[in-house]
Amino acid sequence: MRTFIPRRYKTKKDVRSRSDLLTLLSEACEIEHGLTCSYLYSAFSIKQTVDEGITAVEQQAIRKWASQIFYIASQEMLHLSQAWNLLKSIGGTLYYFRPNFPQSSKYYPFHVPMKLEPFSLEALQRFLLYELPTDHLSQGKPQSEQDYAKKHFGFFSEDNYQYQTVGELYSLIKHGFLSIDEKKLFIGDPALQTGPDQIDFREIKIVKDRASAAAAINMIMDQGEGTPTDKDDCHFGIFKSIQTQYKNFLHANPAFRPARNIVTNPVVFAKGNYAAGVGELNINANTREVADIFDDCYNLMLQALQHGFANTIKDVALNKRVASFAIQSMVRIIKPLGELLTQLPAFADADLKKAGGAFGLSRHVSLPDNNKLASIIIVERSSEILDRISIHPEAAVISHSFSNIIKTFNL
Amino acid sequence: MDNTYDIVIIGGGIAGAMLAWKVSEKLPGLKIIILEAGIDRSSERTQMALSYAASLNKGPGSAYDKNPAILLKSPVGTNDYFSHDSDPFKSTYLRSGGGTTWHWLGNTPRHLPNDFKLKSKYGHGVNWPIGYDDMEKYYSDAETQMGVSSNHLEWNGALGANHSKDFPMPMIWPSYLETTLKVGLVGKSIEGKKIEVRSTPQARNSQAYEDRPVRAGNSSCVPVCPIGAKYDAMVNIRKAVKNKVLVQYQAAVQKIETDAAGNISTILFFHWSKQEDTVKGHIVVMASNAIESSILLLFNKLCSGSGLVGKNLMDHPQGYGVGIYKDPIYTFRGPPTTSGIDAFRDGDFRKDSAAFRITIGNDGWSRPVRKDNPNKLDNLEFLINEKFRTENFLIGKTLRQALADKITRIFRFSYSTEMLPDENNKVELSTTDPVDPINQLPRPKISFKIDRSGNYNSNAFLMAGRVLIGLFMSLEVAEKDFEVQNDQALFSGAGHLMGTLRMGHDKKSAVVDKNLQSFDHPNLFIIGSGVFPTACTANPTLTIAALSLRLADHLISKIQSKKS
Repeated sequence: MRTFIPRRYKTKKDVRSRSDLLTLLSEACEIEHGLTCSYLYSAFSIKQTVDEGITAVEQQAIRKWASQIFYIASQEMLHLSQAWNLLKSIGGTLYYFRPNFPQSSKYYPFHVPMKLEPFSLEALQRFLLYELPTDHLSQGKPQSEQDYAKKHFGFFSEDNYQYQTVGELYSLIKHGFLSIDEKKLFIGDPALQTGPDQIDFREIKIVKDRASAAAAINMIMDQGEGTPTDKDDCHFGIFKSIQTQYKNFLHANPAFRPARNIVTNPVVFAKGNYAAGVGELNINANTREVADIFDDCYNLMLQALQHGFANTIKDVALNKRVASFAIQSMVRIIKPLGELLTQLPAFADADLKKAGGAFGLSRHVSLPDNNKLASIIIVERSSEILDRISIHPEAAVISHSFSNIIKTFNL
Repeated sequence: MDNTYDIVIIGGGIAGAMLAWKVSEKLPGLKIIILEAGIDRSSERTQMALSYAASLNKGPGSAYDKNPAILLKSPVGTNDYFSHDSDPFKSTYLRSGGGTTWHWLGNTPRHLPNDFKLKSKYGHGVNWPIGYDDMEKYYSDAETQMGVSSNHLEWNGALGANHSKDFPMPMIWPSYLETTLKVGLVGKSIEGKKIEVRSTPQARNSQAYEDRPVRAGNSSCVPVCPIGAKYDAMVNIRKAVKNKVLVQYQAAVQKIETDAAGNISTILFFHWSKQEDTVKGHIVVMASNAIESSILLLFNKLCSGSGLVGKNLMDHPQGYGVGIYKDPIYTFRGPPTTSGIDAFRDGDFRKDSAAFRITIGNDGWSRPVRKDNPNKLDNLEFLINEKFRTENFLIGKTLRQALADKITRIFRFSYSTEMLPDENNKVELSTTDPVDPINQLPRPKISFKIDRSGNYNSNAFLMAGRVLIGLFMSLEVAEKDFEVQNDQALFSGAGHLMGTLRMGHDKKSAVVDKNLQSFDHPNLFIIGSGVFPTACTANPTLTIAALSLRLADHLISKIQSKKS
């Protein structure tokens, strides 16, 4: 994951305190979370069958693209989780908020707002901007982030950021971890760290000292930006490869349209907490109900993830089940519902655009540390959602999975 | 044009690809050529996936050889061998650039330390002239080259085998089926062994790796990965070509001549156009599979000192158990298998019974259950065409629901058994089959019978049957809902061609020595699973790759010392 850093963190000298690190890590959490939603939304929109106006050969290719984007999104979730471990190691708490979509173009310093938009060349261009490797800038084209943003998005700013990518943001974070007195810095309770034995992220690292913090940050940077000898398998490299293939398909067939015609930045209800106002409201009543269930499931998943990661539960087995509930929900609830929404009409006229999941974040995500109370809330919420799913035929696609997840993990 | 090469490699499968890549990497400038009888299929991947999708019989060969222009056919079934006695030989292979790794499953377990000393430890078969410690580094290197995903913590030290390095990628996420079964088997012991469901090391990407994408769950690893997330030997062929190795496709070798000193001198091959060509090599490496290499050596009367060329052919005879789980377990999502049960791969029981490895099949009953099998559990074709439609008169939505109820709950265990070497199990030159159309070489005549003497292997079938029944019962599958096939006579082939070119200590008992050098021809080396003295229980591909990398080191030091 790459983006540009705020001017106030221009130099490594600025990262001198625990507070600096906590702020930078929280910002990294927010961006990782937002990118996950953005990538998933795009992948959900990708066509799946040949009766959607694609050839069998095109289908084979775009199925691979969807898988690759899901893979990148899953690594962003890993990065978010890893940043949580980094936060916890120095006395921080989990940070999981982010602005809802649509976002203000000024919210992040790259001035190109994150979007929920269907998969397209423009979306890929945006993803490439987020993931732009640091050394790409020095190798010629584009000469600078400013040029790049101006060329592809018409944006121009007088800001002159010396550090331009989240690779550098993590460099700053790493510098903070390496330069601040190790004995004073790592005050977090090691028992609160979340390891691969507790959650299905095989690569997550426990952070307990300077060396493990550096290893964790290196992993994030390598996966996002690649290594000096391997630029193909990082996020930027993968998006670049998809972009090239996309252009080749378009060249061979100018009518090539790999994505469904879905809305951009969908909004289920105008709740008043959307920073940048206008999104595309799902106003088909049926679809709105499914989209609302999607948002509820997304929030429930986040609640479970946050609670599992807080690691304050004394019952280790229960803690694992809660974390597993969250991870299973991503694959078996969020993904199928997200894909379903891209096939439902967004508006009253079913022939117009299709809908999409809004990833609407409610204000109530944090659960109490007390695992009994947290379990009551999760079970109660699950039951309510299940009731809504059961009376809504379009949502039946996840009905069995949902009840099975609840049953299997004995929440 | 000078047709003399430093190294001539016959066969462009994984054995030849690994060797060519490593030598060319360490000794740039060396002249190396690979003679591959088949074609380069790299540009056909998507079409082959589509061909497989449209195929009614979804076997290992279903994506290949649809093109009538393919002059050099691959065996796709038992009928493609001329078998002159006893059991049919049921395993096939692919004659193509990249070899059989195009349609392999992708599993890459290592051999175990005791596998290398079966004779001294358990009194059966023979010992290998090398041990696990000789191979450990090369196993690790092969895992890096192929891109193996697995769990180091689960495997390091397991079954007595240390792993000096972590796998290059974390394990493939277990399928939902396997996660469910694992929970149901916690704490169970069967036949005195603790049952542990362990991730299977596999050469398929759990992350993007070397410019190949992460696996996408297409479930068609056999016969073809449509996106290249599963390793195939073309990966190392491409690396070798970058290092200036020449690959001559559609080059079917016929005559191999020797000089007065017994060294291989000239190799005659035919292009598919029937045009003749020759090359010479300072070093010649036979890198075809156990059957094709045997044919070439027998035809040219090479390596005849031991009289063992073509003998001791082995496979991993397989059986299975199928069941219907109480809840939906949604097979067919992800690779055909991601986990297995390895407890029966070693132990004192090997004094009486062959070892076996159990895999959990994530592909329902698609492989074992066919109409002509005497299963009491209905196969899918019967369900659709007979039972549901004719007996129960189900149509439309009710038919779909009945199928969905069944298909989401079917699952399978398979087991692959160790087979002892026996000189009477052999590859010979057929005198009755039509010859190959390109190089006029005879096709194989195969003699194959499991347990010609004793019941070492059939004991394993019986034991595996008991274990599978124990597994189904532990998982609370009702007796009417599972069926176990443990009749050795109904075995399936594993596609693992082994033996025929044994590696050993001396000229009387083996074809090549521990460095894979021919006892009869000083400049001839042989690689591939043909050199395996015993079959063990591991899928052979990783060991093939490791042996090639080991031979590469040997040749590199030989060439360097000669130069200096």
